[in-house]
Amino acid sequence: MKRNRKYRLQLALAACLAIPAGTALAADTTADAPDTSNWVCKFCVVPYGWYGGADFGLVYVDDPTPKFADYRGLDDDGFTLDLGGEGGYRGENGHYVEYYAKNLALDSRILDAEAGKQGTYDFRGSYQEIPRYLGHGTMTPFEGVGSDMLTLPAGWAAGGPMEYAALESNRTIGAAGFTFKGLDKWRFDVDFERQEKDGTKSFGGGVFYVNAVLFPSPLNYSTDRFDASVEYTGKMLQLRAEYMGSEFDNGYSSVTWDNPLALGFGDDISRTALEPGNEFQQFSLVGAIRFTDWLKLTGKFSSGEGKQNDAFLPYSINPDFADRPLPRESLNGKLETSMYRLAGRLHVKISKGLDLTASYKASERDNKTPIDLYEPVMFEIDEQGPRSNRPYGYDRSRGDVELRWRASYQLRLNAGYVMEEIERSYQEVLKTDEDGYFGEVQWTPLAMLDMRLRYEDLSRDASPSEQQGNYGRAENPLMRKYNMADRDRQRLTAQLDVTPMDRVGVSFSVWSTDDSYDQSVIGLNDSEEKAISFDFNYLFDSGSSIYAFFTQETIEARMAAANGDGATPWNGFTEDEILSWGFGFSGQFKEKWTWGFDYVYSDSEGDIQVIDGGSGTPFPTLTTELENIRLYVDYDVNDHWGIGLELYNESYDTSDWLVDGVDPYTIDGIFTMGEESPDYDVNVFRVLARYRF
Amino acid sequence: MKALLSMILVVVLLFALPGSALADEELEYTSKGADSCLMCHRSAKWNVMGIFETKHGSLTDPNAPFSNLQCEACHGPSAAHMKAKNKAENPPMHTFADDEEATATEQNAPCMSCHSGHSNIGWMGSAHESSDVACVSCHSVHDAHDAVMDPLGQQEVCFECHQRVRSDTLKAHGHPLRFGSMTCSSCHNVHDGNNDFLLTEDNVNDTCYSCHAEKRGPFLWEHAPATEDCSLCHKPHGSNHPASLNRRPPLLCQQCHSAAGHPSLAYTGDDIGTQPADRFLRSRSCMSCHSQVHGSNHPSGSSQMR
Repeated sequence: MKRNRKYRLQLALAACLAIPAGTALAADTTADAPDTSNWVCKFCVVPYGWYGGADFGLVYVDDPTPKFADYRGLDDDGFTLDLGGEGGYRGENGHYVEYYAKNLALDSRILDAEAGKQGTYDFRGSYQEIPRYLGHGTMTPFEGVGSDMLTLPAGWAAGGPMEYAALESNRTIGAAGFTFKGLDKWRFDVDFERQEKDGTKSFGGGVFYVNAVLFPSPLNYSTDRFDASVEYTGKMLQLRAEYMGSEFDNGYSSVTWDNPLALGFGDDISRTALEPGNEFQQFSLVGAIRFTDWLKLTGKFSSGEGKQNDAFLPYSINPDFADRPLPRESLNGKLETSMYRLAGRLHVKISKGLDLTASYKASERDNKTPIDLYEPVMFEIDEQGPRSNRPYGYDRSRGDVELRWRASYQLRLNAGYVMEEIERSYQEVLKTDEDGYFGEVQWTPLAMLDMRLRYEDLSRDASPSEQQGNYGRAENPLMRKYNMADRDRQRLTAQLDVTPMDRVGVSFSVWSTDDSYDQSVIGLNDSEEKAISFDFNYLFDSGSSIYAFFTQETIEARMAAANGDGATPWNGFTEDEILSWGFGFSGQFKEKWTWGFDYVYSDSEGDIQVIDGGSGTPFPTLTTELENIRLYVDYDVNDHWGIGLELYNESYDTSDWLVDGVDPYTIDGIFTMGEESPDYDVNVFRVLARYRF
Repeated sequence: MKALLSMILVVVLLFALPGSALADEELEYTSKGADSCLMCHRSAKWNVMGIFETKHGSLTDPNAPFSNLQCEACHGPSAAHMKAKNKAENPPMHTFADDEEATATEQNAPCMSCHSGHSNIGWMGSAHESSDVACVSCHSVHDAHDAVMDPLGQQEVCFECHQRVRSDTLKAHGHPLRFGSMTCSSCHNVHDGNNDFLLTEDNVNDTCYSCHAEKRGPFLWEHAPATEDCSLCHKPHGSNHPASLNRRPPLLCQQCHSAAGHPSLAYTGDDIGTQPADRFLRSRSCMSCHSQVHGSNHPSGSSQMR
């Protein structure tokens, strides 16, 4: 079957090339090269020199919370400096400078700059910070927060004092690059990027038995990435060879922590490994060739290698296991990846046009990490039976054939066949095959009306499920994991666009995806996602515009599980309903004034019910409500100076039974950080002076 | 091998067979280039003069349209349009208007004559190309500021068609698109069909590793779905659930983990506030203990706890 499908697709790709040239020629148009001696272009007014400007002012924030400040960087109550700007320089000889700056005085600052000679070379550089504020009422008794050694104060005992512990991190991204395009048809690019992420995040460390301690774990990541490419762009052939190298380093290889739930059997201190450093490099070749206007091919080939070889920690920090030998000192983990894709397109001129396209893609994650037998020590005290690691690998192939027929300007029909095959190593299901068909109709009965309907019907078959390797706990033999279970999928997309006049746009959309896992007695049984959407915009004569949008989405799923072989299954149901809508206006009056407002509302509800033995009380509804109102006014004082005012309010209200009311000692055996679900109602006022060159 | 031989054979046949003559149509350029066009179109009504603030309007870059055939570099030879009494009925070769009876491929041809390289090499066969998306569906080349090239304006252009994604970005958990810290193009190369889902890297995981390289591994104890596809557990555009998870744990985890004992016990709403059920249900649920769901490199981390 696998061979047949691949063969069918490869032949389809071949068919793209198989039709004799004489049968499929598009009418071409030609024109003699014009005499441009009189093309003086007197109306071509290029504004040389500096343009753009700078913005500077103050932003006032009224009582921000971490959730409000998350990503924004507006974490300080009161006034904060606000700096930014956008602009550049345009020289008569082609030299140029461009810059973009935002939030320069905040933790969410962005600065981008580029300079060079257009069409010849350019230098670029950027710097960005992305702040995260994740702690909402979080607290901890640990000392040494932010380091890899967390200790309890001397004499501290359960119920002892704790302090607020912010869970904050900051990602900084610095990048620089150079492009040279000075040689006809050739382009050379080099880019370097360094990302760093520092701070803390919440981490749960398991302790004896099914107990856990949550603590702030340190973050000290850095990732360097280097890209280089050379590219040829001809009329018929485009080809790029590129190299990418990436190296991740973690400043902390582990975190050691005093166990506040210690039983006194050698589990007073525990240690957890943090993410090991790794490196990955990849060479790619990307190309496209246009044999004629009606026959084109494109493709990509990549070959990569990943490594990870950080030294292992011992099995346990407990000295009782100090002499327990490891099978090796480090993993010597190695991945070899490859990918190739080939796509072909044949355009056949019959009436208004017929296109045959086909693509085939194969990729592999060949995991060459050595397999050994390890003897884990759980919770620093509990010896486990020997386990072998399972280096997961994948071999995937995917293809499609599509026939597109533009019967007329008003009617377009597409239909096709798709397939995907995944082979896995060391997993219960070693192979899945999915294939199916799709069809699409696009009908434009009037220039103002465009309708599009697409339907897909896919079916996935899985090879027999059999547990691989040595597990501590065997899965239920009836379990079928949803990513490798038999599945039937129907997907529908419909869109209606109406443009009764140039200045009006209305769009209705419907999406539906229905997945059924009929063969899964245990596991995900079915899931369904549905959404409807409406968009509207209107452009006034004056250049002002109004818009509105509305989306309602439902995500439902049903699963089954059972506590042991032969036990009566129970069912779990989840349903997320999301409603979002908004509207706004932007306009200009008396040339010097620009103003507008935006309103956005989003409301989400998540319902979960587990029915065991015919009954089951639903969980409380998870809710999130977001409302944002924004008003802004800009006034141009003169050609150089302007003033901008912005006022917005954002309210956010959540209810989450997982964390609400859970203080560090609420749950027996789980020492939490007392996180709460965030709520806020924050006002922001911004005043800016704008200077334009 | 059989398929490969077949392909080689048909390619050979293709070039062995003669083609028929092209049906040429002679067209004529204007006598004064852009000045002919801008005589009428430079008024604010047509909103085209912004192009001179863009790279297309450069008079010095030998590759820019205005250093070559100017307006007609994109719109095609337009002498007939200029001479016509009824200009609306005699439009230029390419108007790029919504109601132009040209396919997206035909509309894109002038653009692709210069922009067929770099990030556009994989355009042919991409989802956008297959869906008849024209370059002008997203780009406004006459505007001084093409919104889709703007960090904040870009997503509004994308949301015109991808309306559900806009709703996703307003959900409680997700990537920071609505704050401008990321844009759609941070993860997507919308011109390149060679990569899955028009992503910037070959596949979903490699794209995620661009920023989350700590999850790349390989780890000693890998979590199979994390190595296969991040989106098996996460909704990258936004979700109701922390860490942009598809569903709340423990049900998220229980979809795949059914071993006898605590992984497969049924917990109902009645169990909230009761012990020991709370330890499996609340706070971080399964991840209170099993924090290393992306993989562990601890020799004792076989249960993704250390």
